[in-house]
Amino acid sequence: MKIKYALILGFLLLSVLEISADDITIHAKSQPADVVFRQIAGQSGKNFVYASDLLRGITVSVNADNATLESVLAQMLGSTGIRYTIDGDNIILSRKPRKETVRVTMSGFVREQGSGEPIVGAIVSCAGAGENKTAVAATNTMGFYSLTVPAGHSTISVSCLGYEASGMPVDLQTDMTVDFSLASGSTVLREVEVMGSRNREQALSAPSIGTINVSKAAIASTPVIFGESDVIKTLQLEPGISAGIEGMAGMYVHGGNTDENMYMLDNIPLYQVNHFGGLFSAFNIEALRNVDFYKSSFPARYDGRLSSYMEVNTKDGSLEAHHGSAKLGLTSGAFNIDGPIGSGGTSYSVALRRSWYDLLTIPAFAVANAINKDDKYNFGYAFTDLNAKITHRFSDRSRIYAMLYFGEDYLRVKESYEDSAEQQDIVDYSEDYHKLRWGNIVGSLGWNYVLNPKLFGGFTAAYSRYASRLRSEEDNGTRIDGVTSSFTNDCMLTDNNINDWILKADFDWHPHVSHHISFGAGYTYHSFMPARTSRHLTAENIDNIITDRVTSYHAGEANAYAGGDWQPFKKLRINYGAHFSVFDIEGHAHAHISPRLSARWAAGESLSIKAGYAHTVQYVHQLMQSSISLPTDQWVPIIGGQMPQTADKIAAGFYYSPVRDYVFSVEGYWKWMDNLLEYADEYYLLPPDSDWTSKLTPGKGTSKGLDFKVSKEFGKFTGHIAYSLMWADRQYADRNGGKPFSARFDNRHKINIMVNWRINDQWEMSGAWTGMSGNRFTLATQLWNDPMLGPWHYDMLLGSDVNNYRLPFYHRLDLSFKRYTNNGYWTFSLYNAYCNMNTIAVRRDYSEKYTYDTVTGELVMYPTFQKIKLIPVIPSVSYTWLF
Amino acid sequence: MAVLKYILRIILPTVFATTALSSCYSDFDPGIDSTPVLCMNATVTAGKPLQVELTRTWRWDESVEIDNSSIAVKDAVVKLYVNDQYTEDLVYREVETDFDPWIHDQRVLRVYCADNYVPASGDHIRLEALSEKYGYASAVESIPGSVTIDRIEPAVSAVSVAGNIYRFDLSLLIYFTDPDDLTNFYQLNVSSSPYLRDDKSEARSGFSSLTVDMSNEPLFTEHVSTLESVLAETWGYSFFSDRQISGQSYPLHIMIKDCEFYYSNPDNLPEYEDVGLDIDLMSLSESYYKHVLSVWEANDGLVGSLGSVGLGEIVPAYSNVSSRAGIVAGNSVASVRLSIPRLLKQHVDIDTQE
Repeated sequence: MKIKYALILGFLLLSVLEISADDITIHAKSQPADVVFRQIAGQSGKNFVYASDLLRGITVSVNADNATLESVLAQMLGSTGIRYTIDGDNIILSRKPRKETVRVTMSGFVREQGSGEPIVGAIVSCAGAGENKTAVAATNTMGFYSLTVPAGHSTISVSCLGYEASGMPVDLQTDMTVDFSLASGSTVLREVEVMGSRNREQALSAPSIGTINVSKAAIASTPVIFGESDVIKTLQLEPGISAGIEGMAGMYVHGGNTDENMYMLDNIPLYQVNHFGGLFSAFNIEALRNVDFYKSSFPARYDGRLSSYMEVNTKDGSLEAHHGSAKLGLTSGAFNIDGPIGSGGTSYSVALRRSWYDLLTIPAFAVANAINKDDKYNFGYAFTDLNAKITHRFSDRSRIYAMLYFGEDYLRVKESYEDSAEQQDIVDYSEDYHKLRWGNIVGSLGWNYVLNPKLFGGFTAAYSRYASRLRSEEDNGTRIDGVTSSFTNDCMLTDNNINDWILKADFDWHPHVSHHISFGAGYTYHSFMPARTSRHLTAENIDNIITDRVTSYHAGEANAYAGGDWQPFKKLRINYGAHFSVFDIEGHAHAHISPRLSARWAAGESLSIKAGYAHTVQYVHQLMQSSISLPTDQWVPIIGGQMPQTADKIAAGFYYSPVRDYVFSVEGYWKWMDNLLEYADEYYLLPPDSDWTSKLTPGKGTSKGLDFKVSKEFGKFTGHIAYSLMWADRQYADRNGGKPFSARFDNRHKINIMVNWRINDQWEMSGAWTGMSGNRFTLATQLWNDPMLGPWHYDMLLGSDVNNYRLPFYHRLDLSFKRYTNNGYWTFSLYNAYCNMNTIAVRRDYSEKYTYDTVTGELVMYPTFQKIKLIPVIPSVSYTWLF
Repeated sequence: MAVLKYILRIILPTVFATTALSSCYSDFDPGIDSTPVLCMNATVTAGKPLQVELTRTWRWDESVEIDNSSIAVKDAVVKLYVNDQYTEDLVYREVETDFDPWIHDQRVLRVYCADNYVPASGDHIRLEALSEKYGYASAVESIPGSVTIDRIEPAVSAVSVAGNIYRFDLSLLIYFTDPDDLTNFYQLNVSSSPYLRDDKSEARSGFSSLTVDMSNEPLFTEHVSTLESVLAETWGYSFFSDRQISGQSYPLHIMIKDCEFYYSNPDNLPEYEDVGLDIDLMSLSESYYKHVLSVWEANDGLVGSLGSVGLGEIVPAYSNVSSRAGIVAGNSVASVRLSIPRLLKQHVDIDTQE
């Protein structure tokens, strides 16, 4: 408010007569103040000095006979909020200062009792402090909270799902630090009710839409194939998320692609998140502490992907004792341990997971090689995940950590042949050797510091690398008397990698109890090597090395963001912000600003209405040849004339929670995606080592839908029922003849029912039922006559519209049972419990029904379309030993 | 290698699962409409008569006669343009061919023939076909020039003789020089020349067993990506481009193991000496090459293999015909015959064998 001050010198009356200041007689009732002051000036000989707008609209009443000036002024101004001072002949009027409330800031950390692990999203509330209302704050990823509240006696309480609630009275007179340790639900008696639900808080109070907190317990209780608990497979049960191919850890959020999801491990992007073609994700739950997932409203700090953001925080390790677990399952084994290092505030956490497949194949191939003298086979596949972290706490305000993640898939195939059976001096030989490695390495160093009770800072330096290296070598030749007379050697090497060097700083600022601001900046130096293939051909008179035209690219990406969570009054809460980024590659700088806005209107204690808008941008993307994860799925940047992929999304939702146990929600969204990149039609006709950009085509997409969900997070029975109604379309210049088509995983209807039943202290049961419209499939029905140009005889497929057919309705039930023992627990699970083998594709083949020609007696077979049904009921068992 | 690849190609498409997942199949009608279109196939070889086969496409679950009699389109108008000049209307004929191994019988070709034109290298042809029932189809194609075989270096090993039957291994280096101009595409064919037999004089000459192994030649797998080299089958594939050898002289490596050659020529008939291997180096048009590559990709490549089981996109056959059905494939052939009796005489005193 702009206030213009003007001094008015009132020479209202300059009397030559000496008048006593004590002799003022004046009577007025509800008169304009300036009129009355004029009379007083006349009697007292004093000047009134005041701002021009001070007396506007103010009336006064006075009743004085021969009274002193001070008493008259006091009587007049008593209830006006105006004070006066007498300075010589001047009476200076001004507004009384408002009574100031003393505010203090209470901050600290909420940690898990015993381990000291930070608890993310714990709700800290302070009731009754001065203003007779409750102030609430949530802990950030480091467990830090900050509340600025009126001084006075208050009651502070902390709650979080899965932990015993805690609270205590405090007398807040100055800024103070209060740390909390919450007992985990698994360490307290089962009868003790754990309080607080972060998801309920998100639904009713937070302005964000489509935000999900996934606890480690929720991941562990989700029944999955082979009993391998997986955060992505837990999220597949949420509305609006399509799973893709059955059994895989795919995630298609609100009609997006898999590369449009940002996976962050302790705030560092992770590129490859799948093992074994996508059957398992790269997240070993034994290493996890907390997972936050955003599918509609995105905080300003996140950008770089179009569809979703998943932040995974890993364990710091206990400061008090060494703990760990060892798990043996059908497909993999895992071991993790954490604990203190010395007594100076340092802790460690290590988690290792490795598959068994290669160990199973070793004896099988050993037997085969022993039987076959000429041919020798060797085959091995394994995947490994290693998470390691060391954390040191200098004080309650300062903490430093170093984190390492290593994840790799490894495939080795070797076959050698040597024919020396007939004639020892002439030997034909061949050796084929294929070695494929692909995976991530992430290393980061972080420092968290409480700069002051209202300001929390996090500083991170990191290196993240995804690399795949595929090597194939074929050696053929003949040796005569030990001398090679005719030979060829063909060696092919394909490299794809992306290296990121990252620096970033993030801050949480709590200037007011109703206003929380996050801001930060970062810089990432990217180095890309998109699938470069070199081929070395050696023969008698040939020694050629051909390397395709792919070169490495270097890019700088700078970003800055600021966003706030503001509650101007009780019913309205707003989340606002913007993320600014510049991506500089090959002399092209792409600058982009991504605004974000969402708001919640509390229509009642138990009903909230929300709406939001989010814009996102993506500078790197993954080229995928299939719907499963392959080591050839290279990450590439936008280069040349390509534009950054962008998405604009609007969303709205209703949230209702009549009682603490249940939350009902309906969320709608509409998303527009631009500058998408995809393989063009017939890209496979270009040589494998040709320029990768020539194989792509730009396009756009839209998606829209409704997500319904009813969830129950308390009690012996917990779970949710979710229904999604979804549409997802794509259109590319050189795909499907330029015509629009439905996305592959455009699952129109999707229903998920997830139930967890804690039967008693020994037994726990979980069930998950999934039913959805089938995936889209390109079904070519017409064939054309083989022109007989190759060494084969096939019917030729006539191209058809992309994804022109929807596979039949998909449904299955997964069950798991846990039996807790003194030292650990058994997990028994049944994937696809009622063995409904779902259709994953349609093939053309001949019916099993056949006849014989009545005249010639020849077999008559009937061509038919057949559903391919893949996965039956799969039982599995694992044991986890806790120590 | 084939065994292992086969194992891997089964394992990986079935969702890479190592457990005993048992897939199953059930017949059904997908219930989507599709309309047949006109298909035009023609192998246009320099120096050989031009024949165009017109058929209609058919839906997979429709039974089609193996001799194409039920899908042949006989009443179309087919026009030929050469180097942008109208040449003639092609005439429909039914031509009986030699023994067709695919149908184990003679085959009747239902083709449209050009009476006044013989394709030549460098010609650009355009074919247009119109059928009242199945619509219109057209294609444009160029006929490449042939590339001669410079020389052949054969190497015989592991020779054994039993009467008139000679068993041996044969490796060939087939030299040619790629023209240093545009991108060129090739196919190598190695086959046995016709078996000669005279029962009266007991004269015989020819292969009784011949299996040509193309796997020693790396150019034949240049289309295979690193990952496909683990998974895909390339048996018999002998198509290649000059991408790696442009403008160079290069020997193609061919291995023929366990050959069985019968030779008896008591009257020293000269034609019996010329029996052996026919080696054809075909120069292909780009469309020809793309078509065979697409068929390989659809059935043996990574993309097609995954697409066929629902894990990726299907790969339709490449077509240069406007209806997207059919291929008009230009090519030229350079041939050389390798005499096996003369070759054997360098290793065995063949005239004394009986």
